[in-house]
Amino acid sequence: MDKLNGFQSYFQFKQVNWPSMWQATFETVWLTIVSVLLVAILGLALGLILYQTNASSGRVSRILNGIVALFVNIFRSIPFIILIVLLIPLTKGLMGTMIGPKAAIPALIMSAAPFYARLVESAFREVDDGVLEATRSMGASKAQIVWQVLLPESMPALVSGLTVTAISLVGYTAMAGVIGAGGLGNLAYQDGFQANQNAITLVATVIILIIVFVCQKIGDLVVQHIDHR
Amino acid sequence: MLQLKQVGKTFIREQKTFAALTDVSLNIEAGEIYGIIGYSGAGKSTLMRLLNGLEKPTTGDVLVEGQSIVGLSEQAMRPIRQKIGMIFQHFNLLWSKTVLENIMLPLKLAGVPKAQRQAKARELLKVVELTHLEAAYPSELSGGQKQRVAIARALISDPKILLCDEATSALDPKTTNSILTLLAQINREMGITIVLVTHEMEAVRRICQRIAVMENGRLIEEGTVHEIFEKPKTEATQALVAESLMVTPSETAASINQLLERVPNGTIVQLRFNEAQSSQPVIGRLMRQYPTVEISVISGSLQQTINGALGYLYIQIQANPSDLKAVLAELAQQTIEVEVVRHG
Repeated sequence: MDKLNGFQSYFQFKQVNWPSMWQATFETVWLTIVSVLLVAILGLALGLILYQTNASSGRVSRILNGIVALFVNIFRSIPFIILIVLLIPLTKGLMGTMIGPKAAIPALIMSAAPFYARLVESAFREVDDGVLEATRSMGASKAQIVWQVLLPESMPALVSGLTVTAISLVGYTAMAGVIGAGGLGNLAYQDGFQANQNAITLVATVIILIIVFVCQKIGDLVVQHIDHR
Repeated sequence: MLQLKQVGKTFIREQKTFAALTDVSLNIEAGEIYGIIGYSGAGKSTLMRLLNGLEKPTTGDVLVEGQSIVGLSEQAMRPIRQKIGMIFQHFNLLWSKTVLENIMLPLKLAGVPKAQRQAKARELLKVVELTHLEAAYPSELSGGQKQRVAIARALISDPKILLCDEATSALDPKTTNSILTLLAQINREMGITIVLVTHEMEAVRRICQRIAVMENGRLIEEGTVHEIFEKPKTEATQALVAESLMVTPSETAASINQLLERVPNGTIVQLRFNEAQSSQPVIGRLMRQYPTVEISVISGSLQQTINGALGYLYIQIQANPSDLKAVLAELAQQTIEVEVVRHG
């Protein structure tokens, strides 16, 4: 096949192998959904620990807060591409492989969960103190306050935070693709860049943009629906 | 019903201790409406939070129905808190829940089945006259409606006590009146003891039977509404009473000066009196008794309280010295307080 250069090269759509393009799209979407779900659970748990231990003056709380905050700050700061390489031994141990979509999951979670945890913590802090006090005056237990007040009252912020996290996860999955995790990033790198078929890169880019816009739209609609303030 | 025994509360902020309450003792009887009044920072809200254990006292004891709650754990406090409803200045409703869901929340926390708590919540919506708004969210309500929802929420667990923390302070005067009327009705019809913490003497005057006045974390005066309004002993209380009669001390001074200019001659006297006295024809009788004495009313005001009226009156007296002396003596017998503002 001719190796075309210049602007026209983007529009040689006959280069595009559509079945493999859809396969890659499916992989990216799957990877994003699975990692968003896991990040949501882990991020909520970490965010809740940060929130609960921050206000408390007990010694155990302070130590727990220090440990979680350190973990969060470290993993939030490591550039994703380095984190993947750093976690290769761990990934091998956990997933039994270091190539394919599954192999990207540990790095995706380690990177995005701390980020989301900070968003969760600040969403919880936004909840009105007066409402928390009112609930306490009704005789609510700590767990009841979390389920009945903290979560529902911070839900719009939790959802919009998750939307932001999901969008950056789409970006991370593409990066993970470069080191063999499959998906659109992998396709754009190997078939698009290395084989110099720019049309493939362009199509992969457009599909990723569509995935991001859909994520944003879903997030906005959910927030609109649940926010009664 | 509720007792505080020599309670002190100290907060530590940035390694500085701050005494919010010092040696406060009071006894709130079952079925009464008890007012706790004072300017902001006087310690009223802290005092109220001791009553349902949201705050623990540093010293002293807090008793709810004879039981000390000071040593109780959060867990042991829960059933007691369910018997004490609380409403707040900013209503503190959950925006994420509808009116009905907000009202049901305390029963949901207590594990009452849904059908039962719905029935109860709808019953209370009738009491607070908001039946048509059960599916609305708090953001769609006015301030007065929000406070009504909060009252229904506070009443749903059949409390014996209702704590009101500045409950009318964020409301306009008309709405304040309707909320106070509702509180008085709840007290009368359900027999719920109400503790009203406020800086508005007006609210206390209207529905309370007894009042405690707080200043700088101390309880400086306690008594029935009439005792406090008629004979305020401390300066702080006098200021609060004057405010509620719509005249601050400086305003009084200004208006007296105006009076003196407007009425250049004669003796000017300020009278304070209560309901029983206001219905007696004191001035008419004096004028018949002393035909040469001229008495004219210059200014006055009458305020309603739950136990009747309280008022003050400025009169101008033109008389010879001996008659004047007799008239003043007569007035002193008939009214609570006679103060000669200017001798003619």
